Amino acid sequence: MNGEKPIPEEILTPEQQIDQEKNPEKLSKDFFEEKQKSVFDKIKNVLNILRPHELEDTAAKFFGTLSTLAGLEMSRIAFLNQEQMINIMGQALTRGEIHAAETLAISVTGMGILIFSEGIKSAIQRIKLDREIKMEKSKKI
Amino acid sequence: MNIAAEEIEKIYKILNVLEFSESEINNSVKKLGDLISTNIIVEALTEKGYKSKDGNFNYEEIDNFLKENYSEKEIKAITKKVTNDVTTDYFSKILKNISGDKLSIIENLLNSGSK
Repeated sequence: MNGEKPIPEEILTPEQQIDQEKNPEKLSKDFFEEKQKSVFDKIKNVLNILRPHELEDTAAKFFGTLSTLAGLEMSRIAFLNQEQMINIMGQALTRGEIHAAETLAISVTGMGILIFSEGIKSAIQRIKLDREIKMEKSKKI
Repeated sequence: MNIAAEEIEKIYKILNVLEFSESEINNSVKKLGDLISTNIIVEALTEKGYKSKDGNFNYEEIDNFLKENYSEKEIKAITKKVTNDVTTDYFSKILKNISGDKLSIIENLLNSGSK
């Protein structure tokens, strides 16, 4: 940890102790697995699916379809200029892929500078605060 | 490069600082995009009480529901909220074990080029 004092194990839950041993790449994989389950539950609710065995197929279709529909797949739009973006959205609309796709893509493009950096900065502040609290607790033990 | 591209470029750089493999960087950025976009639409549908009658859905039905129930301003607000929430959750998770030095490098990356 580059000379930083580790958090004493006695103030961590067993789950936190396991997490503390994981590197960012592993934590990233855990995050997406967990969130995919959570979004499946939301989809199940929205789509009013009553037959559990149909959930996975439907949810996977919903997940994949909407990410394409919304035109927000970041790896695709990362290096597009405005003209290329309009062309892609034009093609989507020609295929009947809705007004909402355009609205959402424009929203994300226009607001990107606010939302991603601000979200990451919030995460860093949260982590710093969490570390301070844990260190304070460890001093008291 | 447009504004969104600059922001996304920062995410690529941060994952690189965290020593993700190249394929895992691409995979994670794609998954983050998928998660955000799906959550935006699910949130929009849920907030105004959309319910599929038979467990099926189609573009036209969702399009009509969103157009009838949302202004562009409202969609932008949901987009901003969901993106911020998902981004904060993701980076809170993946950055929590890294050193203070790496956190500083990432903070510098975030502040570079922004006004």
